[in-house]
Amino acid sequence: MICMFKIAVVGDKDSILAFKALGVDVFTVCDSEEARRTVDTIARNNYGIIFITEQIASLIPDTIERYDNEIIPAVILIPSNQGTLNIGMKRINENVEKAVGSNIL
Amino acid sequence: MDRMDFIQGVTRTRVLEKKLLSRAKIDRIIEAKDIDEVFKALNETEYSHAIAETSRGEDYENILSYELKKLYKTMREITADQSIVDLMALKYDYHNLKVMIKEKELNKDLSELYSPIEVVDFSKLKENFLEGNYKDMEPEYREAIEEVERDFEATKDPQRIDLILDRYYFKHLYKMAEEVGIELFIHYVKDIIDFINIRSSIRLKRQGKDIGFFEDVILPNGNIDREDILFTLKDSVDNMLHKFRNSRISPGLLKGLESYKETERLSDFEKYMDNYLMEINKPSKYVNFGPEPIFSYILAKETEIKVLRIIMVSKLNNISPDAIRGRVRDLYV
Repeated sequence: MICMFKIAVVGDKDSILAFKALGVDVFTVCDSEEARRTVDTIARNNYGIIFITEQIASLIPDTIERYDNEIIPAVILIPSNQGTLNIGMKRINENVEKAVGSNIL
Repeated sequence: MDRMDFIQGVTRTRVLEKKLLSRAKIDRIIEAKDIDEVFKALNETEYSHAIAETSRGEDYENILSYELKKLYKTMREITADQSIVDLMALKYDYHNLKVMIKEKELNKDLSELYSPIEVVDFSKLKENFLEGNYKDMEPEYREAIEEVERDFEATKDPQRIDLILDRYYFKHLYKMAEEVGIELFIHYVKDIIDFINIRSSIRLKRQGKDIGFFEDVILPNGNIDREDILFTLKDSVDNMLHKFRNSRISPGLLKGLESYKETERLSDFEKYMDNYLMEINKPSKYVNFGPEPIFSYILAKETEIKVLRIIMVSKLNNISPDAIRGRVRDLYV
């Protein structure tokens, strides 16, 4: 059987609602407690990729870190409609450094 | 319709009008630092009751839907003739029809999307729909549902569900306005139809759709001839400005088109459309015998709710007060 993973996006309503049009499952959250619970629940429910806005991710760094060591789901940070906090890009740089040995970006 | 039947309703509406938010109050709310301050400012108004039950800024929608529900409940109580309220409530029925049909096609539970405001008993209509018992439905709804189902069977295009139901909505609305027979309501409906047709023309032009598609979308019963609007699909905004310089809706339309030309944003066009529709309702303030004040008050309150929604969403997304001011609509009072 082919295993199909789903895609989720987590963040504040106005930033992420448009993802619905792409067929991505949208989960709106407001505070850290709700964000943590949502991410943990969807991670267990067959989601392969979880996009999460940087604003929300900055509230729950421990939870995000926890999924760094798991293959699935991939937690990917995206900027919200308030602009970027640069955490997402920083994480990519760090990962590249870890993989190649130096920062080539 | 006997205009004298509305004396008590109008008197009660006058009291409610006094409680509408003033321009100064709205300005203060726009200047608020964040959503909590918006709530605090609203606490001294009619909205305090709904605010007491809401703890988080993100739940602002609850306050607004509570007020909207209350509005229709009150107006149904005080009007002598329900058809006045029905004119404004009909849009919620058609919204519910859309949800109901999509719920069935998607086989998904969308119950949180239904509006509690209705003209006909919607739970009964839905029951009839699910049981395939179409003959007990109101004829307008039945006709609309049957066409949507036939069309969806053939095209499988969900966008057409909305298109067809919108067309039936305006047909139904126009029929209702004619039955009530009050000039203001007929003008109001005809003017909305003109605005929407022109908006469709601009939108479809941007999407590069052909005239065949436009023919499907265009609504009948407006002031402007169908042909005239159809041909605007090829016109530039300047040409449209020129063409409709003498139409009934020109005062609002010209402003809307001019601002669209400048900013290329349809949200500005819609703002001028709302402002114009409010403008034609303002004379109701001086009507003492007749249904107009009741109708205009519903519009005024719905506009107020819309303005508050604009402000609250803007506050949650850190939009500057100046930008908010550019988006809010004219008020009734």
